[in-house]
Amino acid sequence: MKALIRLWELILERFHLKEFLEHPVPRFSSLNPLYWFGDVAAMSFFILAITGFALALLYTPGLSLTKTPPDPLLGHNAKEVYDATESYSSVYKITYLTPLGFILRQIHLWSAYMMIFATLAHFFAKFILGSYKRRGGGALWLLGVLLGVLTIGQAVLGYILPLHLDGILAIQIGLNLFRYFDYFGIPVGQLVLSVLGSLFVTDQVIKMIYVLHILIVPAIILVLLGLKINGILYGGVAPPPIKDEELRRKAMEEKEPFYPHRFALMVGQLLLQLSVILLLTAMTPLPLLEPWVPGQEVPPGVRPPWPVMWYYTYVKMIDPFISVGLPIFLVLFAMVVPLLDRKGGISIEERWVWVIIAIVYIAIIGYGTVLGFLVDIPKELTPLTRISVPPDYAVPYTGTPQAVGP
Amino acid sequence: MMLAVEIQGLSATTLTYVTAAVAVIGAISVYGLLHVDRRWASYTALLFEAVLAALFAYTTNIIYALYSAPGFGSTVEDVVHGVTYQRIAAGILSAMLFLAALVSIGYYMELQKRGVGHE
Amino acid sequence: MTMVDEDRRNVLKIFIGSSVALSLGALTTPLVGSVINAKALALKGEYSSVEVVLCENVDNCPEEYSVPISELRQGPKFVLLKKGNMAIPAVFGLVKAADGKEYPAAYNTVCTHFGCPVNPTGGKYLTGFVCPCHGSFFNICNNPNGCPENPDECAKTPDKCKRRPFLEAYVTGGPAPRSLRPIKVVVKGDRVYAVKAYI
Repeated sequence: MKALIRLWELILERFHLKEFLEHPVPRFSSLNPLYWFGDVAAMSFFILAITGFALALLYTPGLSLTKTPPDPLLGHNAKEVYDATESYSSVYKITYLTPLGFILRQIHLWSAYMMIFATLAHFFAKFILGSYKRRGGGALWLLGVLLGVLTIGQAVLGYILPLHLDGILAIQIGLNLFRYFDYFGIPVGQLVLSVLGSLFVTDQVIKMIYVLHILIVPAIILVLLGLKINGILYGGVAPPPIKDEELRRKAMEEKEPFYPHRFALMVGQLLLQLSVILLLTAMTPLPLLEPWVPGQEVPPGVRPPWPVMWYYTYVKMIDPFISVGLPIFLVLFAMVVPLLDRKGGISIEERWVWVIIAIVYIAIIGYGTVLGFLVDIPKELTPLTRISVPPDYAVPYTGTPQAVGP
Repeated sequence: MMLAVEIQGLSATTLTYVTAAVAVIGAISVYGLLHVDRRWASYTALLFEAVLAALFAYTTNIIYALYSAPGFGSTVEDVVHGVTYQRIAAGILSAMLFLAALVSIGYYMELQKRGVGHE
Repeated sequence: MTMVDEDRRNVLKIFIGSSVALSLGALTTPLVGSVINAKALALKGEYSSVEVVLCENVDNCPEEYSVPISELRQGPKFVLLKKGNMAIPAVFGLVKAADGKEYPAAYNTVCTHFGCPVNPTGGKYLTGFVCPCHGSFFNICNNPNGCPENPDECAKTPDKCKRRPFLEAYVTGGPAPRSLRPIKVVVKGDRVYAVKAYI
């Protein structure tokens, strides 16, 4: 035991790890829940990277037709065999025909959901804390908004990959959603066409999505995350939102070493997080949804997963010319928040307007999500449903109709 | 011809109850001991981890035997069996990680109480 | 000290300048190329849809773009039209017109709202489409003289009122902003050929 401890100390010394490991961190941020969610999101990212690596080895993207047995978790009739795409059947193989493959995929899914939830919670926590008001906080805030967008994008890309019914609908919607900008003279449809080669799912499109999901977007996330961790390491965490300056300074000055104090807490948090993910795997495993191949009839009543449910709700309630841009507006406004909220202190009493705006953000997303799950939204719910008359852009039926038969 | 895959070993229900019992007793005793003495809590956690690790190895063995059985996957019942055992394995792992997390966070709490500052 | 600073700045300038030039070059070359390619697909900007010519002439149109009329009599048929990297989901069908005749027609089944694949309605004859995602309804105009946009207005002034062209799949409900994109079909022999599509 003594020899081991000596070895450990030697490693710390010779690799100059002591300087990093024992850097002082403020104690209040370990104890305040508003400071925890960023860690959860970052840890989720690394869990996703590891499980994603294993999944990428087993997955094959492709649209060619195969026969697949039904998903046992959905309780289908056991005798049936479905037409499915190669992507779907490879995910089926991972999930149901590979030992421990089920656990692997469930960890990936649940940590993805946890990462999105933690990202949103982190965003609201930092909004309420006003953490962008400290020196360097604005840059970190900008990085955070970009990372949030990339996280949602990564979730959507990953949701598409198994090419189950909802995944195909997600990619179809993704390819055509922003074509509303065509009306304003921005040729989004042609841009998608020139980059991906098709506005309908093909082998090339699904390969592109695969590469984006496993390589390009995670690489960008990794770089931005590195920048962010660097900024927090050298710039420190956000000060507590207390009005009394004396108290605040005292809280900031009360430090503890990163190792072993914060290190023990972080290890505990990672283990707890993994434990929760595995408990969710055991208690509420997520089914692989039903397959779909082009040309098959799509059953009505398909719904998006919860991270985009709120958007679905608003798009169904409000005219698309208004609602399509809602997330873009939310993101752009979030980006300029540090420029608008400059005056005054950082305490909640002084920033009550901005705390209300943060709550409005939560309310928009939360209300839409809950409403989406609670009610089957009727087509004409509000007077906003159809306020703008769409321009006459439709292609008239071309060609001379030729009658056949009698 | 469908090959019926038979599982030799504890049934899924038994395994679930055993896991739940060990996990709950382990969590309560480790949490309780953390208030008394962290050292003893750690030793207890280690003991329960060992029991759970044995359970995990046992379940994984069943899973591998099931998935490598000839004719596995020819019926949906086989797949349902496989999923059930994998869910139990996930539950055991979850319990193991939870006990480790308890000890780790307990250690942090003790450091807080000791008040070993850096300055 | 100033020398060092100057050197540092110069190195930085060279580094940034060359990487900007390189990345601009690397980015623009394929982008410009692909945009020109997209232009070559014969755009019609006013419709904000891209026109894709499948066959210049029906006589040398490949069979994969066609459906036998006898099959269409059984009901609407789905065909995935492939050209290069592109896939266009199309539903062919026979429309029973008000004049009692049957007209073959085809539509791009990508919903104009958000792009979900729409389901055909009407059983044996094609009468319209419904979108499973957000509940848009499309109705195919089956009057060879065109369908009035506003029936009351057309009842008063039959000559002046706006009419939708025959065979257009116009919106009757839901959030979709415009008609389904059509596919131009030509009958040759006992088959219906898709010659031009809008995506």
